Amino acid sequence: MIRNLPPKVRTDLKRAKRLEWWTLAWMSSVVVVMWLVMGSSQAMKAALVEDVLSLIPAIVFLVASHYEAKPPTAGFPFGFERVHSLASLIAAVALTAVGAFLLYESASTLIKQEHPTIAPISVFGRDIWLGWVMVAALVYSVIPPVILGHIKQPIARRLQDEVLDTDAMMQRADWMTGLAGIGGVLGVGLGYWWADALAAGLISLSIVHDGVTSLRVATAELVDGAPRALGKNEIADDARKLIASLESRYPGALIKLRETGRYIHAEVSGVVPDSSVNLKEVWPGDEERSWRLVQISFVPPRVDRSPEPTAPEDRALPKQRARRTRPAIGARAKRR
Amino acid sequence: MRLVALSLLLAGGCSDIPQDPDGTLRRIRSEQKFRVGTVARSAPASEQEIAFLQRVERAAGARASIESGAAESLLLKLEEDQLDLVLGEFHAKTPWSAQVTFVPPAEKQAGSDTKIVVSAAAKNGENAWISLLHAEAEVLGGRP
Repeated sequence: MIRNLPPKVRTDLKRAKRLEWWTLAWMSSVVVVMWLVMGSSQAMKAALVEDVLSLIPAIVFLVASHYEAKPPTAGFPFGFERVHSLASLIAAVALTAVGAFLLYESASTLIKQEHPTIAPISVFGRDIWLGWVMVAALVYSVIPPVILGHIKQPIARRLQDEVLDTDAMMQRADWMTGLAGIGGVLGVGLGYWWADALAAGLISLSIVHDGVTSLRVATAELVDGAPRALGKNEIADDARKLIASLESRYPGALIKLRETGRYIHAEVSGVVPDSSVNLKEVWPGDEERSWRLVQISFVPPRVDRSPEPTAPEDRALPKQRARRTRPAIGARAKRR
Repeated sequence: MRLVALSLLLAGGCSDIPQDPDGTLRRIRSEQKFRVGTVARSAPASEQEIAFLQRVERAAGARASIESGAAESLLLKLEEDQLDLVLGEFHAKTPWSAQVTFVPPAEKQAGSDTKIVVSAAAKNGENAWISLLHAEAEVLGGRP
């Protein structure tokens, strides 16, 4: 379910989808080129795997956006906003596992001192050392993602989209993979057999780093953590400001925020709820970003009573009794 | 002018690539000798094998010193740096293809009814030496 997003944000969302389709097309061409010239180079193999893995965030974004647009159902009354987080978690686990495996392979190659063979190939009757073709492929593999990453990042920030931001960050950093790969291949060409495995190890480390970052962010959202800044494990700035705004509006209340997808839900405990709340008024700072806050739930102050136990089960099950006497969730303010 | 000088320097540097980590080709050129193991079999060496060795001798500016033996022991010697080249018949799917480099690759030479192919094996990673063998491999059944 896409909530009442401002037209600008909706346009950004459409543009992001288009960019992810472009990403899939360009990165598929990179994967094919890299696979054709990979040879037995470990660095090329690691770079190829990273390129294949870079398709995952784009696919995750497109799948999640498809589900996000779906209305809630009886089975899923809160909609599908969290599909993003679930999909990122799956992608992050895959990223970390593959990165760790490649790291193990590189370390094992270094320990066993396996010397990589990069033989020449015949192109139109002329012999060319495959290393030069690999370098050309690596240069090509860097250009589309770096450009796409630069275009996507500001959109990801405006959309507050974790998957898109992770994708953009990974792509912007792709030049390091290319450089490491080129270093590895040229190192082998200069007679340094270890350069290839070392470059593969560095690329694997970057894959593991990407995976662990995504894992931490996706986990934070799935366990109802406070809204995080994009690509970081710190609390987002707008979430801090929102807490301060709610604290000044409801002194003495306990304020809790959580994030579902790109939206923030607030819970205000220990105060008598207002009859109605204008969410735009509550939102601090940039009004254009007020769409982020979609719900405030109130938990009124607890009223402690000491009822006389009347039935045997009341004596036997004090926990159940306590649950029955707890006040119900109070007024809810919703944008819709 | 500086750009031209830089380009010439780069081109000069590129001509030295690839190099061998263990310096096989440099040693062969300085000693003017390379050590070849030919896989023992009942039939004498084929014309293509002789032609290949002659071409490698010319290209490397060195003479081949040949010994004969079983494929396994020769390939072990190749791995341990006691040989520079092993020449003979190998199965197209020889398990040795991970440990040594076949020029031309044995599996690429195999046809639907050809399982045994003539190929030359070199130590993995000696890329300058392998490049030289590759350039002369046409007589063994086409360039890889």
